[in-house]
Amino acid sequence: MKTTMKTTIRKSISLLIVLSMAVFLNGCAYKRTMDDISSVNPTNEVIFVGRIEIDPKIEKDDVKVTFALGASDLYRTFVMRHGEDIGEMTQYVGDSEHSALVYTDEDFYLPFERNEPFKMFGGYFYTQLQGGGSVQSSTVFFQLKGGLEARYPKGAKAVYVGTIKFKRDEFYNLKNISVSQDGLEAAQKRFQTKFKSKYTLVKAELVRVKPENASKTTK
Amino acid sequence: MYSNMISNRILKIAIILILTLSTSSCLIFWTKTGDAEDYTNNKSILVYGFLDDSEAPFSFRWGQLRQMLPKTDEPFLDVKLNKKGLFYLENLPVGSYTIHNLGGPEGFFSNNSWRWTFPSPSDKPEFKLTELRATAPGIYFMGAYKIYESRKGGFFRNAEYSSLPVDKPSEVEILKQLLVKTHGTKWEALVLSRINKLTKG
Repeated sequence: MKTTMKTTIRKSISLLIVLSMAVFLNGCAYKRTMDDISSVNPTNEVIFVGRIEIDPKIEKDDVKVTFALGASDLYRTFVMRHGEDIGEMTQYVGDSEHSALVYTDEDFYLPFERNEPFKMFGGYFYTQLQGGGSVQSSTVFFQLKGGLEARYPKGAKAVYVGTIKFKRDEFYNLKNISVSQDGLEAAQKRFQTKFKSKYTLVKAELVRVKPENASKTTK
Repeated sequence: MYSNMISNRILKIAIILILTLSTSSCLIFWTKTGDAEDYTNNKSILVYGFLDDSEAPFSFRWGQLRQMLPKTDEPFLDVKLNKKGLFYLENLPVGSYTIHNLGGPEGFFSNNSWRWTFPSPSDKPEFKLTELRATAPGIYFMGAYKIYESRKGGFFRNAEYSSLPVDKPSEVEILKQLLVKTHGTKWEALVLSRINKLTKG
């Protein structure tokens, strides 16, 4: 779903966006896919493995960026909302506690606290981030309304969520969402190769929460 | 000698002015009010629409379409307008377009400017005309809209604004404004034909 917020370009908002993007891009604030499995404590944490796809793909040329600061990957960056439902997503930046930065068409490996349900709510990506004195940004929200909960056995160390595919049209309208766990075997191989680990990925039981049953909280 | 001194002084003033403006972060934008240019080829389209800014917090002076298809390196296209609400752009390739934003300065004494983004038709179907999928050469209407104050501002809070599609002015009235801008071009015949179709239909 596309952002519908009215925008007034004021210096303070521009500054906020630039600052947020600076934080966003240097990765201090958002949870990111892990690079090193030794940083995970399997007693307390579970690694969630999956992939976000957007169909048709967002090509590099589709995203207009004038900020040089590490924004070259912006076209494949998807900020995934997790944990807490905020209801209808509109234009927001920040709330890093419930946002994970993942790359589309690449496996994500996200460690989360064991014993806490892992819920995904879709997320957003940029199609424009340009400006000088004033910033123009366009954000597209692809939302899993109500959320998708991944349930798993107690002893699991790594849980396979699957591939969440967002089908869109040329206007970035969301046309369809599908989830597939067919890629478990291939994901398992990639996981073991990348981390030189013998962990077995356990297929998550996915439960789609209907929006009307979701507990709606505000940030 | 004396004229040299004057031209040096003018040059200095010009440089100071340019430096002042470029560092003050004030937005300078020349409203595009020019007339439509003639067909560059017979495979192009002209799009038009209308924004009622009578209750908007800004004077409508600029706007952009975004060309979604065919893909291009420069997808953001400045619209032309007539300062009475009409906006349009001609000689676009057949393809898909969306109204990216419409805006203008808040006021003479304000440094603020606005770029208004309409809701997506996937959320609000009444805004379906903001997305255009043109499959053949011709002229295409992208709708008429109004921005209005949806919540009064006060001492402690800013006013809030919303937008909605409107049927006043009618498409025919908007086309009549467009007729002035397309006079003497091949677009004019298409505009007249559309007026005839709407008035007879």
